[in-house]
Amino acid sequence: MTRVAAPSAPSPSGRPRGSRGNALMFGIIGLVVILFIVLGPGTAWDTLFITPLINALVFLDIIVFGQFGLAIILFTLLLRMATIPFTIRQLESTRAMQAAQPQIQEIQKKHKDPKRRQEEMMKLYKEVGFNPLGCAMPLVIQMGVFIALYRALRFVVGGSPESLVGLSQHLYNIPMLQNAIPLDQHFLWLTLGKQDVTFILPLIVGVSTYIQQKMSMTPGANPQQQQQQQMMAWMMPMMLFFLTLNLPSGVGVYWVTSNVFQLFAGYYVYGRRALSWRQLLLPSAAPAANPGPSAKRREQPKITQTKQPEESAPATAPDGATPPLTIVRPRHGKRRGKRKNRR
Amino acid sequence: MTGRASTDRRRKIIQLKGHRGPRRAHWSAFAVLVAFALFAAACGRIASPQGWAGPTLSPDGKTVYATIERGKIAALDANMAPETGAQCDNNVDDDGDGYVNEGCPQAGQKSEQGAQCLNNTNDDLNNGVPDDNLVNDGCPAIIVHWVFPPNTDEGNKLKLEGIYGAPIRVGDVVYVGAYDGNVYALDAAAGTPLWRFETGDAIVSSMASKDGTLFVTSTDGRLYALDAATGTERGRFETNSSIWASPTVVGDVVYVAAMDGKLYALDAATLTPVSDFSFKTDAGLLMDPTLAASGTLLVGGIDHKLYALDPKTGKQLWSKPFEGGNWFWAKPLVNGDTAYLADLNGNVYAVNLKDGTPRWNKPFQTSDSVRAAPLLAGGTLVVVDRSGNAYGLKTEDGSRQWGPTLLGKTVLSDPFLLQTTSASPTPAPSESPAASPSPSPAATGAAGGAEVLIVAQGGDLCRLNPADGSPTGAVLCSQVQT
Repeated sequence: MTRVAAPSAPSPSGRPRGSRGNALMFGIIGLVVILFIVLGPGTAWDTLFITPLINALVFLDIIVFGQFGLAIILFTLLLRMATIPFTIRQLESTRAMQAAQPQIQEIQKKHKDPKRRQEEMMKLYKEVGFNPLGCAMPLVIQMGVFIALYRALRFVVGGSPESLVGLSQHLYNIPMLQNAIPLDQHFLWLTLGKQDVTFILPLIVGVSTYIQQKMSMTPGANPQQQQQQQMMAWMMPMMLFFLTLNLPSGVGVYWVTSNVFQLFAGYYVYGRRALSWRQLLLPSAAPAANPGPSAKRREQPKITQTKQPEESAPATAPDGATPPLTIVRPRHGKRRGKRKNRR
Repeated sequence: MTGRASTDRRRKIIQLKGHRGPRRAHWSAFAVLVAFALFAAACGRIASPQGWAGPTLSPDGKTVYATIERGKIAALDANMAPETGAQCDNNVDDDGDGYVNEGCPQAGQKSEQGAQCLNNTNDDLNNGVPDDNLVNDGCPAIIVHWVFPPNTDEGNKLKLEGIYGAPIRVGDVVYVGAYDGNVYALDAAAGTPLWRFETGDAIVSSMASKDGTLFVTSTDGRLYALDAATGTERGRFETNSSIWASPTVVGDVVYVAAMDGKLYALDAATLTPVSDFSFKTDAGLLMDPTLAASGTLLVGGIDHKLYALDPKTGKQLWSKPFEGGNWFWAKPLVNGDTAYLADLNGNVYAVNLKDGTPRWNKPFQTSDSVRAAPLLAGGTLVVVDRSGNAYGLKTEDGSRQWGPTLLGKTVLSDPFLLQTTSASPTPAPSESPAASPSPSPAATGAAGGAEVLIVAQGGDLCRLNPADGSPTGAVLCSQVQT
């Protein structure tokens, strides 16, 4: 039964749904590149990113009654909500990849010619709606914001009088913003402009990054890939742990908030099972290569052949091409969980 | 199929198999590593406080107290010229600095001079052959009497983090407030610590003293009154905001400018607010309160405005405050009925103290923010911006007399005028925080025989001739060697 087509499936016009998003993305990147060339990298970076970010943070600080930690959290939530189409697209791409693992392995087994195999893979990507650029965009945004936020925090809470001199160069001449200076650096146990020497925040950053990564990880196609993914699953949180140890706590607050948001987004897309202990603790195996009992229980969106004359049609077309696929996605994770329990 | 062909085919298959799966994983791992490398390069390490304390001269004019590196203060000999020429022929302390033949070459050997002192090479050749193994021998050397914290195991444990307020000397004691929140009292002769007082947060201002009481402001929002001899607390006054400006003592009143926009006038003996005095703006006050000879109290800060107040009531004396282009942080220089001041946009202004109108047709624009107070030397207004561009301006119209002289360092500290003609150099009174904040024109000295000392970030000491901006030493800026 084909019930719900994946959002990233081709649109009725035959045009992939991701193409509009790609056009928008390339448009934004192109505009930014042009401004960087016209204004110069330093001025453009400051004018486009740092200065607006600083003023936005100061404005949010005023809104939350001078609690700068809350201002960072609010800023992160607003930013993540603004970029939620990218995030959802990334998660769905990942999910599509997870679902298409058997087909990928089939293609890899079937086609020995790399060129042919590549063609088939691209065809499959198109059919399941996987977009490598769609996956990269949220990461690029995250990284850009992370760097810009770090730079901005150096000025806003800075932790040194020199940073206050720098702040004066970035603050718009609006009395409300000017009068809010200096901002209160204290939030919970943290001094936002300084490192967290208690190790609590770096630990939270590491753990939340690990969970978020495990949740959205594509199962490896072979043991080598799985091994690399396992390594990455540990490497990223470890790196962020050490980075947070050396960065202003405000950046850590941003990272934790962002991870928590991503977890909720993942819950929305993947369902409750994506957050199960088994999913988080076990290595992410390729379903077809290692279809153990855990893989069976793990909720994967079903991939069915669309408009195939026979249900028992082979996985590949007679000419060797992979038949078109449609992802069947449950509407909501919670409901799906209930249904499974009933079964 | 021959055996060789079969082997080749197997090898090809193995290659293809090896190339198959992990390709995407390799790329993703590579992308993550590149992203982190970029991130690490962009972020660097956390910004640490560096300090911007300007130098101070001892009352006898023989010692300059200056920061020589982050969180370290040194007592330097004010006579920064070494013995030269005939002075090197005897074993006598000819220049009265306590050292014999400092900077002189070794006996029988040539010494370096002029441009040879600008590099760190053994330039003085004798018939093409180096006659000694000395680099820059004979070049001016700054004599360091002591360093605090000392370069010992014990001293290295002490982290002052940064020194922002100029040290002050009262009697035989030098007082330093540091970013670690402590006030240190040091023996002026040896630099040994006498006592330490801990405030609740970082100290980013200088201090003031009166009748054996030391007044200290801290970013914890308090003004502390300390016994200058013992460091015991005599009293404190709590504001509801942090304090970044130095206290100013005028008669029996201590003025404290706070970041809540209030200027507090307190009785120096009891630290109780003076009745009938009230002044408040909407934005924080950063500038040290400065009293002009005409009885005008100047304050300014984040709202881009300079206020002229009645020191008794806090009432504004001008119909409207003078407005600049950015925050006023640098302490203004008052000369007669004109105040010279600079903002963090790099504009330098001359303001008529009678009515707050600008004296120049347009402000002088430097290349970067100006946090350092302007300095007057023989009719030349010396201004240094954050990027280390030093300018000499004409006081009449603000036009450029010389400059920019490029120091090549970040400069946020106040420059300091040092007289070099006499055996005992004398400072311009404005450079001593404990002295009167408003020097008379005569007191600022003539430019001839004077040099401007500028402490750059990192501790480099730069020395300029205020008449033309040229270096007065062999090199413009040099690290003080301890």
